[in-house]
Amino acid sequence: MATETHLKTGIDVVGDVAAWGAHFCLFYETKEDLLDTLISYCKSGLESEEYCLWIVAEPLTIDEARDALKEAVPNLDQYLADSRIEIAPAREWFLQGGTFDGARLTSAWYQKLAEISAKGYATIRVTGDTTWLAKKDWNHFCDYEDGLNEVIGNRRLAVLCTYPLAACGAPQILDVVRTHQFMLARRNGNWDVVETAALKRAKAELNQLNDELERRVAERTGELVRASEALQESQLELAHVNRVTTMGQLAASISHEVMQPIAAAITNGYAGLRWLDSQPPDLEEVRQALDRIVNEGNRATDVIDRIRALVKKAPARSDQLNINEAIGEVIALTRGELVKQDVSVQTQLAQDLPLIRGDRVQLQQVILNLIINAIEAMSGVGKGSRALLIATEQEPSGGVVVSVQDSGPGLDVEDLDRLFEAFYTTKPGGMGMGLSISRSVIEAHGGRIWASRNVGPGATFQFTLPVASTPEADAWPSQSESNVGPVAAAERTR
Amino acid sequence: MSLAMDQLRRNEGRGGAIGGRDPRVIAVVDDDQGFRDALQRFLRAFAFEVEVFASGEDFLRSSRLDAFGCVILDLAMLEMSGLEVQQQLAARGLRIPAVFVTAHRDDHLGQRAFAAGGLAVLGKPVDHVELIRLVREALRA
Repeated sequence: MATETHLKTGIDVVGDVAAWGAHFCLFYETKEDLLDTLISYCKSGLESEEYCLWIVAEPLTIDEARDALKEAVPNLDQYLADSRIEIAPAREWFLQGGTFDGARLTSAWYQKLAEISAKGYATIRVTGDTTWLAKKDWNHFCDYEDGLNEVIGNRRLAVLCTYPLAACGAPQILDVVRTHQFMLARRNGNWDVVETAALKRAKAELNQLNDELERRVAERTGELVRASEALQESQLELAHVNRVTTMGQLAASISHEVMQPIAAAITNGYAGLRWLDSQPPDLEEVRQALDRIVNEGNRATDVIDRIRALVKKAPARSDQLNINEAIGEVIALTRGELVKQDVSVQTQLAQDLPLIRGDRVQLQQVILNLIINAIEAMSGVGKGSRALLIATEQEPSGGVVVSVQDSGPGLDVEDLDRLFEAFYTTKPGGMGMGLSISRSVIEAHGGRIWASRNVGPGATFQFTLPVASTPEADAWPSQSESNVGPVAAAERTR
Repeated sequence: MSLAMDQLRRNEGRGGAIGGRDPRVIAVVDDDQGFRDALQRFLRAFAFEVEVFASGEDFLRSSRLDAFGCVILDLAMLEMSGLEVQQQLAARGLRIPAVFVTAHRDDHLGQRAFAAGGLAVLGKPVDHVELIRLVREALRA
C-alpha cells in the first residue's frame, strides 16, 4: 500500500519511491518491455486510489495497452468509465497542432494536474512514451523534460517517461539520464536501476538528514518529557508551599484543635486520680477516665495526622473518597480560625453523595484555600454579619458540586475568570497563587471551578468533581445533615 | 500532675464542700464533647453536682438556670461564644459567677472576658487546683 511518504511503483526493481515529485525514465527495446513494466505500474496506481494517465505511442496502440491492462485489472472498464484512468494517444497529447511546443505542453500539464486535483485525487501517476519525438525537436524536448521537474516539483506525482533505446544515440541517453532522477533499463535480460551520482548523493544526504532529524526529534521529545516532568514537579512543589504557608497562617488556630483533646485527656487524668483517692476507690470511674484518656489521645493523634498529611509533600494519589468527610476535616482544622474571626459557619451537606475519585490532600487544600479566602474577604465587614456557608450537592449529571459562600464585600472584578490566573490577587498581602493552584487541582481531577456574585452580599466559589466510576462508588452513607455546625460535622468524622 | 493532685489533697483541709454535696449545681458549657465530659467527671470526683451543655443556646434554654451556682464557659464556641452567653445571662438579670476556659493562646478574648465580669479565664489544659478554688469561691458567694 502507498503511505503518506511513499508511492508503490509496482515495478519490482524500483519498489517504493518518495511520494513527491518522482520523475524517472525507462529505456525499452520491445513492446513486451513496455508491457512488462507499465501494466504493473498502472495497476499499482489504481490499487492505491491514484489517478492514472497512460500516454501511449507506437509500438503500442491504445487498444493493445487497454487489453493488456485489462488482463491484470479485470474491472478496468469500470475504472475507465469512472475516469479514474485515462489511456491517451501520445501524438494527441504531445503534438497538439502537429508540432511540439514545450511551453504549451507545460501549461497543459499544469491545467491537467489542476483538473485532476480538483476531482479529489491526492496522487497522480503518469507514464508517457516518446517514440513520436522527431530529431529536430530533441533539444527542445530535453529543455521541456528539465522544466517538467519544476511542474512535478513537490506534488504527489509520479512520472515515468519511456524511451525506445534503439532510437536513442549515446548523446540522447546522456540527455535523458541528466533530466531524470533515475533510469530503468534491461541489463543481461533483467531490469536494472541506474542512478545518477547526484541522486545517490542526494539520497545519502537525505538519509543523513533523516537520521539527524530523528535524532533531533528524539532529543527534543526527551527535553519535552523532562520539561513536563519538571513542570509537574514544580506544580507539586508550589501546591505544597501553598499548603504549608496556609497551614502556617493557621498555626495558632490549629494548635487549638490539638489542644482540645490534650486538655480533655489531662482533665480525665485528674478525675481518675481523684476517684482513685476516694474511700473506697471508685474503680469503675477510674476505668472510665482511663478509657477516655485513650480516646482523647487517639483524637489528638488523628488531628496531628491530618495536619501532617496537609503539610507533607507527597505524590498525587487516587483514592475514592467521601467529599463531605473531607470537608468536615478541613472545617475542623479551620474551626479555631473561624471562631477567632467571629465567622459563623453553616454546612448543608447533601446526603447519599456518591464517592469521588481523587487526591484527598489536594482536594482538602482547595477547600482550605476557599475557606481562608472567605474568612479574609469577610474581615472588612461587621463581626455580626460574617457568615460562611459550605454546601455539597449532586449535579443532575451525577457529579458532585461543592460551594463555599461568604458574606464579604463580594467580587470587584469584571472578569471573574481572572481570579484563577496565577499572580492575580485582590488582597494586599496575597501571592495570587491560591486560586490558580486550586484550579489546576480541580481540572486535574476532571472538574471545573468558578466564582459568582451572590444575589445578596458576598461571593460564592464552586467546583465540580466527577464521580468515581467503579462499583464501590455507589451511594455512600452521608455522615452529615443540613444546618449542622462544623463541630458536629467534624466530630462525626472522628 | 501528681504535684497538682497533692495540692488538691492538701486543699481539702481548708474547708469547702468536703464530702457532702453543695446544694447548687455547676454548669459546664463547651461544644467539645471530650472536654465537657472530662470536666464533669473531674468535678463529680469532688462531689459537685454537674450539668453539661453542648452549646450556649442549650444552656440558656435550660429551665433551671437559677439553680446554677457557677458556670464554666468555653470562650471559643462556634455558634455562640462564652462571652455572648455571659451577656445574655446579664441581660436576663441572672448573675451566675462564670469561669471561662479556652484552648486559644490568645489574650484578647481573655481580657474581654474579664471585662465582662468573669471570675477568671483558664487556658486549656486547665489549672485544676485553680479551677477547684474558683468553683468553691463561686459557690460560697
